[in-house]
Amino acid sequence: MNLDGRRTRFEALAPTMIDALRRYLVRRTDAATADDVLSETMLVCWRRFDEMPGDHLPWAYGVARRCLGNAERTQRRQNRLVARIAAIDPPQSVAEEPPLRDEALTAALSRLRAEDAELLRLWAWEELAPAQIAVVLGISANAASIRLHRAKQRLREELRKVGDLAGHEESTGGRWL
Amino acid sequence: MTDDDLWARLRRVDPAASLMPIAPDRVSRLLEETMTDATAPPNATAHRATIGRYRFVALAAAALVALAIASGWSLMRPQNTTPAGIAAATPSQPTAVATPSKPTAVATPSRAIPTPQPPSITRLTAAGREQGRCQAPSPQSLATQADFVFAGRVTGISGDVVTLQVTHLYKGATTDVVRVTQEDDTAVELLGGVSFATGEKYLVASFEGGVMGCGYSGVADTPDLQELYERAF
Repeated sequence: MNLDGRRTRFEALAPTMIDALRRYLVRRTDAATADDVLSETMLVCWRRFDEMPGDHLPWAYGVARRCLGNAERTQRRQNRLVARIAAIDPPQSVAEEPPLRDEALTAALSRLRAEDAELLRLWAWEELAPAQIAVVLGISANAASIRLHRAKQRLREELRKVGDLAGHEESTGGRWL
Repeated sequence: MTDDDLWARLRRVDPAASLMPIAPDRVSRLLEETMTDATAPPNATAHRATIGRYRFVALAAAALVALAIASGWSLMRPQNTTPAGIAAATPSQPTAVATPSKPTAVATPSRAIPTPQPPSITRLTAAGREQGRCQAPSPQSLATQADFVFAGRVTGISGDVVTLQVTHLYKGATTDVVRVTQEDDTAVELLGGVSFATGEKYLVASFEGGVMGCGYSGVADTPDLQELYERAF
């Protein structure tokens, strides 16, 4: 692919990619970091554009995931919170001012293992199918499918613990609004 | 609750749901910045997706910190001057104790003599390749960023673990042996950008339990690396 063709193709894909990546990042870190990591992610996508598969979003999420990991690592270096690292992982899972009103769900999510919660986020927020989640996380489609299934069960279990699923027969209009 | 219900309910707490659309000029600026990047389109093998390893590194680092504190304490605490209260509360080193079942036991001195300890082991993890861009290594960064730095000889490579005998400790908690575990499916001989071979001596810097590549770790007789370490420590 010549450089011009490469540019044209990238420019065509970029707007949807930027929008999706921005959402992905805002869901997982603070606004300033999201902004920085977005630039970095786009740069990596541009450099590795030739490797980008047809279903480009999961692949791009994978790049963003790694860039965010890098950024958070650098941030930790700067802060030198060596001893407190355990408290930092998982990274801020939701934005600082979340528009969350479903307390039970938020609490249940936070009690899940970071891996499970991330699977659920990719499933519900990024709206990815197991095979796409597999691309983001660098695991097999089969593993993603099994893990997602278990993560859903664990989330239900956590909700049940707080007595939240008692009324699950009722319609989804509800208590968290 | 069905999958659909669960999905819908999760959707409602999406923090990005109320995100304002990005300004068009921000998009064009971003694109411009991106595509004017001077870096030539790379060869496809220069990068690898080692997705998901950072979380593991962080966990490993937490374990390392705990281990380092524990081993540092057990090695450095005063043997004979420990206040009784602390001694009682601390799992002390195994000491020779004369038991009734062994009437022939050698008379034990009144002061406890530590029995030979198994070598203390510090565990590190290494990524197959350094991700992202590397800045030129500087002695200042090495001295300030790295939290565990040592010189060591590789005594064995087994499975995905490289074992090094520590010959000199520049920084960090005292330890005899360091085990470096690979984090992805890269050949174990190439950890954190460092190619390990049995019998060779290495200078290794690490941060939060992860080996620092990017020119901060490598074969000990590399002149640049030696100079870097000499200036840093």
